[in-house]
Formats: sequence, structure tokens, C-alpha cells
Amino acid sequence: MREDLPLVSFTLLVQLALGAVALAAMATLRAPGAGGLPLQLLCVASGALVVAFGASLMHLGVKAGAMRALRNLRTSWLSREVLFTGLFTALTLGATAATVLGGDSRVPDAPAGAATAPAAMPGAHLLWLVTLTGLATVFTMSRLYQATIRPAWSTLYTPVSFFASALTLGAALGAPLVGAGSLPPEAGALLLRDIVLTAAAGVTASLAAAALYAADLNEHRLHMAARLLLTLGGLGLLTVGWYAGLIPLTVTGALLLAAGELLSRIRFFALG
Amino acid sequence: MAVQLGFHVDMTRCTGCRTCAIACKDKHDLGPGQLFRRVTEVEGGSYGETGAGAVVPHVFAYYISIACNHCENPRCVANCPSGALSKNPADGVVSIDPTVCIGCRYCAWSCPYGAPQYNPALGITQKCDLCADLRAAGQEPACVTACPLRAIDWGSVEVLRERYGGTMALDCLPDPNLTRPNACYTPHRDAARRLRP
Repeated sequence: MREDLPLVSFTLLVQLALGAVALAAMATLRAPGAGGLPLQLLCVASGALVVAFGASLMHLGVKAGAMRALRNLRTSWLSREVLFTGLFTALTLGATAATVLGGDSRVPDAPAGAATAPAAMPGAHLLWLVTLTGLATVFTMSRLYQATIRPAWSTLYTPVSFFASALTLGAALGAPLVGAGSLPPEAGALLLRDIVLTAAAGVTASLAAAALYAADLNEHRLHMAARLLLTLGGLGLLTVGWYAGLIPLTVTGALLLAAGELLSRIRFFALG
Repeated sequence: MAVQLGFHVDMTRCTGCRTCAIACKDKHDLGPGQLFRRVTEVEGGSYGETGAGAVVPHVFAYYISIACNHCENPRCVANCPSGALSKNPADGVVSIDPTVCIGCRYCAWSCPYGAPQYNPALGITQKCDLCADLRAAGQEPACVTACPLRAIDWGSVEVLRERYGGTMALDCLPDPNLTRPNACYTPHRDAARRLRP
């Protein structure tokens, strides 16, 4: 468990960052004039990616040789993962810096009042580019584990659960932020509905894949039961919180969802 | 490739004494839990009916001594991100350059035979290189010299296969089509009975 911690942290944080930037891109569509939420999400994504890089270094036996991990792009999915994680981090930090400095482009169809928004709006095209890079990063990450001979990693469960984690963690991060009301009420309600649906999609995909592919279910019955309880309980609270407009329920639901993902990832590495 | 080197193990001779594993561990000064050559006991069996309303157990047990098989398609080499792992074009031996390895352990996850092993003290992965230094000095690999039953031989895999026959398609080993290992085993009678079709 202890030796898996860097990789548990790295994979979850990168997937959280993907969920955050995708949500930021979605927010620019739902509320083109309000830059506050995308900036908050970008800041979290940037922080998560910086910490993820540190966690990935902790996994290496020779930390000073980390750059050598880029030498075999021709055949190694690990080299490709490192390259894409670097690109994803650079683009996310760049988009965050551009937004903070206010020098970034605005969405072409932003309303006239957008200039007075509390924070500058990151360019929608830039956010979608960052999201695409994040998708490529998580794809290379899942291929990396699929290319091993570990039975618990070499199935379709790996990509499905990794992308599902991005959806779930993005939703768990976004729901409290949107619920706190940094967007206009109408746009916020629409976005919150999208987030709850996204979380539901992530949870469904992840649990379906776990049921199909996860090995040794009997041996890990308690683990699976705890994960189900956290994930389904979290989704339920998130949904009720959204429906009733109760922020504490939304926050609790988000925390439970994140805990479910953490438990699931710990189990993923324990089985490998 | 001029020649492909590899091991032959005669499972009909192996008694599971683990002298090969200890000689290898001693030669390479390996720490706790690190074994470039391992000896595993394989056990199994079934129940048969006596015909008089009782059952009788049919059991088997045999040993398999295994190290790196210096595969034709080594996944460890393909997956290594730093290029530390390579397959020598002259003799087909797969080895790790310790000055390039970054200790990511991806090779260990990629090998179906458990050959690359992480050394936490050095922070790098290490593996069997068929005792390159001994070979350079005109000697045999340590495991070959040490085996008291003369169950392990080494050399050109082509020659070994001609001399001993043998197979890698054993029920206790992964599917050889995964990486096309360059080794051969003369199966124990119980392993032979369980050969894959």
C-alpha cells in the first residue's frame, strides 16, 4: 500500500485535473460571461498537476534520472505518458497564467457585459485544447497499465475506470464550486445538472467495468462493499443536494465520491 | 543475430534443492527477496473413484527452476521508458544498463516470468544477464556451475533444442507466444502430462 501511494496519488490527481479543465470548458459554454468558475477550476487543476508530478517522482528509484523517461517514445507507453503529462501540465499552467494575467482571448460570442466579469475568461478554444491534451494523457496512462502482464490491469477495466474517475472527480470538485454560486443562477443550475449527470455517468461506467473485469471479488468483498457505499451514497447526496439546493449535502456527496475513487484506486494497485 | 544464448533446464533431474538460486544470489550479491533465478514447487492433483464407493487422491508435485528467458520479443525492452533495457544483437542476451535505469519498475510489471527485479537499496531494477562477466572470462553462468544434478545447461538455444528437445509450453508457465522465450525445458513427467495442446 505504502509503495503504491505515489502512483495512487499521481493517477487520481491527473484525472482530477482532466475533470476540472473539462468542466471549465463546459462552464465557458454554459456561462460565457462568468470567468470566476473556470479560473477556480484551472487553479485546482494546476495545483493537482504540480503535486502529481512530485508524486510521480517519488515512485522513481533514481529521481535525478526522471528526464530519461522520455527516451523511448517509439515503443514505451510510459515515455508517452510522461510526454503528455508534461504537455498537459504546461498547457494548464499556461491557461491559468493567461487567465490570471487577463491577457487571454475571450470567447467569440461572449456578451458585451463580459468585460466587467470578476475574472478574465479563459479562451474556450484554449480550454478545449487543454482538455484534449488531458484526454490523451489519461489514454496513455491507461495504455501503460494495459501493456503490462498484470491480469488486473491488462483489461478494458483500466481505461474505463480511469476516464470514469476523471468524470467523477471533476464532478465532485465542480458541484460544490458551482453550488456556491459563482455563476449566474440560471447558468449555474444548468451546469450543476450537467455535473450531476456527469457524475452519474462516471459512476455507472466505473461500477459496470468493475463488475465485468475486477478480479477476486470474493477476496475483496469488504473493499468492494465500502467502495459501493461511498460511491452510490456520494452520488445520491450530490443528486439530492442539487435538487434541494443544499450546499452541505452537495459537499458531503462530493467528498464521498472522491473517497470512493480513492478506495477504488488503492484496490487497483493492490491487485496489480 | 550471430547466436541466441539461453538456458535449458531438465525438470526430470531437478530436486528443488535451490542451489542454483543461492549460487546466483551469492554471485550477484542480491538482497532479501531478490532472486534472478527462482525454484518453484508446482503441486496439484485430483480425486478418482476406487469403484468401491470411495475416492482416491491422484497428486503430483515437481520443481521448476526459472530465470530470464532472454525472449525474442521482450516486453521489458519495449516498455522500458529510459532505454536502459536492451537485447544484445550479438548474443540475444537481454540486460539492463544500471547507469541508465531510473527504477520505475515498468519492466518488472511487463515480464511474464518475473525476471527484472527492483533493488530498493540501489533504486534500480536488475536481472539475469547470463553472468556476462563469467562468460567473458570463459566460464559458465553461476547457476549452471552450481547445480549438483547437472540439470541446467546454457549455450546457443538452437543447439540446446537440438540436443535436449524440450519446450516452454508448460502449464506452469505463461503462454510462450506472449514473448517467445529463448529457453527450453525437458518436462517432468507430471508437467509433460499437463502440456498444452
